[in-house]
Amino acid sequence: MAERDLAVRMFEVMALMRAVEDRMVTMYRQGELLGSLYTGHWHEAIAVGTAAALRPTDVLAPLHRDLGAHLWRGLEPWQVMASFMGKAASPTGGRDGTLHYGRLDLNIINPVSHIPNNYPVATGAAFALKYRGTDGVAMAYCGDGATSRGDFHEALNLAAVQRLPCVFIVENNQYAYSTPLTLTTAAADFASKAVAYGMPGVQVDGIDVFAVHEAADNAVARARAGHGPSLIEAVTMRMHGHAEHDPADYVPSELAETWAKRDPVEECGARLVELGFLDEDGVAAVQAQARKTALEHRNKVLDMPMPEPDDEEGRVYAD
Amino acid sequence: MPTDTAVTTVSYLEAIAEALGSEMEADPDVFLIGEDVGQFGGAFKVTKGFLDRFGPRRVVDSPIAESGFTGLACGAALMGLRPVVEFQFADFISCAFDQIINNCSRHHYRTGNPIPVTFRAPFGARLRAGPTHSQSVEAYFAHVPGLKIVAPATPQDAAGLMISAIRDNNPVLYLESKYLYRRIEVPGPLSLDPVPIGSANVVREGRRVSLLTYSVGVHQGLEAAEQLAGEGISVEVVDLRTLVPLDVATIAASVNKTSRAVVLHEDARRLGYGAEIAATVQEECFWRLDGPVVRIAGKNTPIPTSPLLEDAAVPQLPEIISTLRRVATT
Amino acid sequence: MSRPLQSAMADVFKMPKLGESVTTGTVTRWLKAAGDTVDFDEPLLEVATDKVDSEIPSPYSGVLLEIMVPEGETVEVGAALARIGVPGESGGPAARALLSPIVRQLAARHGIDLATVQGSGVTGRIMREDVEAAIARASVTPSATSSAPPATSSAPSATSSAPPATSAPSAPAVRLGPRDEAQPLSRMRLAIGERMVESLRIAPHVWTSVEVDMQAIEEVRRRHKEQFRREERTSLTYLAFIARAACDALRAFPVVNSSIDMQARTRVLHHYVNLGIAVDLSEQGLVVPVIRDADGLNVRGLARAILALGEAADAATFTPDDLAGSTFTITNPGPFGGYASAPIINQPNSAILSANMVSRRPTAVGDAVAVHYMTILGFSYDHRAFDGVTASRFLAFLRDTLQDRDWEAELG
Repeated sequence: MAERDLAVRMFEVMALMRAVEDRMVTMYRQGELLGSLYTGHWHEAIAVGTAAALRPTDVLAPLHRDLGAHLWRGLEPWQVMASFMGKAASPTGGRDGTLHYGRLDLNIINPVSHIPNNYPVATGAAFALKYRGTDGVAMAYCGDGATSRGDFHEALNLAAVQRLPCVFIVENNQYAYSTPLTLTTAAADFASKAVAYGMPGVQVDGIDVFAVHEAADNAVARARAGHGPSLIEAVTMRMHGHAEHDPADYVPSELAETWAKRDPVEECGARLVELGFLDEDGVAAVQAQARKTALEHRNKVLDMPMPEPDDEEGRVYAD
Repeated sequence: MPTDTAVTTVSYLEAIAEALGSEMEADPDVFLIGEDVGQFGGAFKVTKGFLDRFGPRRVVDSPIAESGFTGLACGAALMGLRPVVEFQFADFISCAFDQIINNCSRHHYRTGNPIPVTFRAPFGARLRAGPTHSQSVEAYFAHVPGLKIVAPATPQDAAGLMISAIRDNNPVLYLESKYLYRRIEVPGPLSLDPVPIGSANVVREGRRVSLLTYSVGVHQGLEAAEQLAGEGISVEVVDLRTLVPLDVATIAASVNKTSRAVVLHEDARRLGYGAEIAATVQEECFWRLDGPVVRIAGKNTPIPTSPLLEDAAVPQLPEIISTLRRVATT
Repeated sequence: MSRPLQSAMADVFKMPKLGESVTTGTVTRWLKAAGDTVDFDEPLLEVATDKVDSEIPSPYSGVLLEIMVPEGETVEVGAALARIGVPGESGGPAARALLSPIVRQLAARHGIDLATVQGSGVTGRIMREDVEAAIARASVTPSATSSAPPATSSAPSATSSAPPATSAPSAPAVRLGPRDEAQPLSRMRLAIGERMVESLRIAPHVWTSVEVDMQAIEEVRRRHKEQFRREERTSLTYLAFIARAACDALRAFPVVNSSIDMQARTRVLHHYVNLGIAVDLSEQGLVVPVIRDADGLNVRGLARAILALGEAADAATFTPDDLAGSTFTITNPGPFGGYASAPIINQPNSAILSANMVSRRPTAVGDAVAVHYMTILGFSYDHRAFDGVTASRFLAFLRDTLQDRDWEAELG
């Protein structure tokens, strides 16, 4: 994709992610969702910048702050809404719901809540891509909190030892639910943990989609060429609560205010103007279109039917 | 058993290896991963020679990372490969519990995507290996929707069920008895036809009481049945072979015929798999029962190491014989 | 102790076996007196053996009609200890509480009066076999069964197909002398001829080439040859490396991976590489099967795909789909020793690469001359699609990739 096309496309998907999540916050407050809502405000640059570095045949193992990665691949906004509503037409047919909406036909692995359970699974996808003789890459995401679990360690170690084409993204958004970084790690950062596994690790500004994309591009190229895995720590802030029921009043107000000044969607728009890729009206038009799309998808999904029990035990096993 | 010395025999362990190797020959998507499975040939030498035969791409020596390589297998299976995961001892499968329970087993129900993984777990006691190398793990996993469980007792079933497990589009926990590995041999050559998952086998017909068991219990049951035949008590021995899904029809047919059921397994009694079998028999056969369904099972203790202690902890032949006799005649 | 109460029907409670090797038991204490009501499982007496003292629960509900062994007396296992039943009532079923489901069911179904059945259980309980024996004695006959007729099967239906149409190309006259032999052209030769002429006619061909030092690849090949053959059942050929590097170069130079449509006045860029590989059919002709999405494969994957093409060629199992849709083509005369070659473009591609012989030749390495494995890659392109600068940059990229890429990483 040409430089301009790529930049504009990334901005469009970031704006759409923001608009869809804002719309779903409203839906949550209006009681249209089944349970809580997990959003990725201020994670737009990470989700989109990383996914944009991949080919459709590469495998993604994203989490609940990475809606933009799904949208980049072609998941429809209404399908995400349907997931949070338990609708029959949701990606899991209402058997799972909320943030568990990955679609394997788009090469996206559907996550479970036991983060970073998808890290070892992504190494398996990478293993299969390599085993099959492709130059495909798998990309896994987790937050700062999930790095504390054993699966993080086991996956990074396995991927490095087996030299698997895998890129690990750590979205350092300062909080694991209410637990601050200081109670999660005594290390200065997450990128340097890569060294211990024998792989490169970089830290990038998670607000800057161009920086994220460049880091991802490098890591993906490395994996594709057979040089093995990399770790990317993208630093941002979780601007909403862990979920919408969480007021996040444990976040010091100065911290929230500092990060509020750095909206990744707005910064990306400004950059496009600076580069001459869009004018200010063009940026506003993209955002307006995103909001319109989000509302249209909400209206479309509202009256969709709920699933009814249908040979549920028969669905447990594959033929 | 024929005594012709010209006939070569196949052990339970050799049967597993032969079936595994033949599936790897037949299907390039099948690969093996686990600790020490390659260069060392596996802790019990089931995969001896596999590294030379199939190369390091398909026989993957993993670091000590049960959760990691289980997750890896799940991811590879989602991409269409057919991983065979070896847990060095079934005891270590607990380290991979999260991946098996939350990721693997419920994936198909959640998404409709098949996830064909075979988990090989050498299990069971009687080797003086103590509390963390002797466990029976079937009861933990039988509770989990989405996982199939097989537990062969004979070399032929070990081979046939291995083939079926690998070809199945679901995660299958393959419980191989390390006690039987080198103790049970049959005349070769082995058939490499698949044995269907979910099918029990009446290994000895009888009229007076049904013994419902699997794995080591089958061999104990056959011995007990032989001795009781001398007393005029006719015991039918049913080898369940598959625990999930359970072959209820074969069990019910047997118990409806004999009107008496004894369940035997080595795993601890409390909420052991026998409880499920007993409950199923009660539901299916109540009006044909001539007495309560009785369980023979391991003690509700960890498996001790020292011989006398271990022998007291798991079912032994005298208890099996006396229990069958009591149920048949009381 | 009173006289035994009379009853037509009573259960006899016998000395139980209280251990594997126990043969006798001593009644130490009766917990009920004759005439007392006894409930199932209610403690009835205490028995001592040489192993254990036990409190024995009653296996029956009813009235303790008779105590047959007084306290302090030792009797054999199986000896009658007491009778429990319903006083003064005759014909009632014995020990209702211990009639098992199957016993009740069989008795009801076959009209057996259980009062007439002697229990053979160790405790005197009526067992399934006792009822069955009673049924047999009563000569109850079972009902007849019916059988279904066997199902029939239907025959399969036949299908027909139409023969394909052909067209012949024009040819100049050939003078036939006594030492000449006229061979009829096969359909394949006719088709190849037609396509080659057509390609040369519509596309202005330009030939160029690049020299490539294959030494690094040769060394990697040598290191991985055996293992690779064992794993993949094919040899690690130069072609797989060249194909991989070509895919990278095509991604970097999309115009080389394009098709010209003069009628529509467009150049169609293909954002994928469907790689045609010219495969010789025992010198009887040539086909160009296609590796789809070849740019998603690494060296191993390409080697496998090339092997599959060769096998399909040997088995002649190509379908028309296998031979259609290429976006770029590689022809590989190298194994047969060609030094350099100028291939004809496989339409509607806009370029074709030929991989020639790799052999040891002197080459400059720094300021010294070394003997390395070298080759010439030939490249024909359609000048309508792009120009010489693009072609040269494409070939330079290809050369650098082949020479400098870390191939070791691809094969690990």
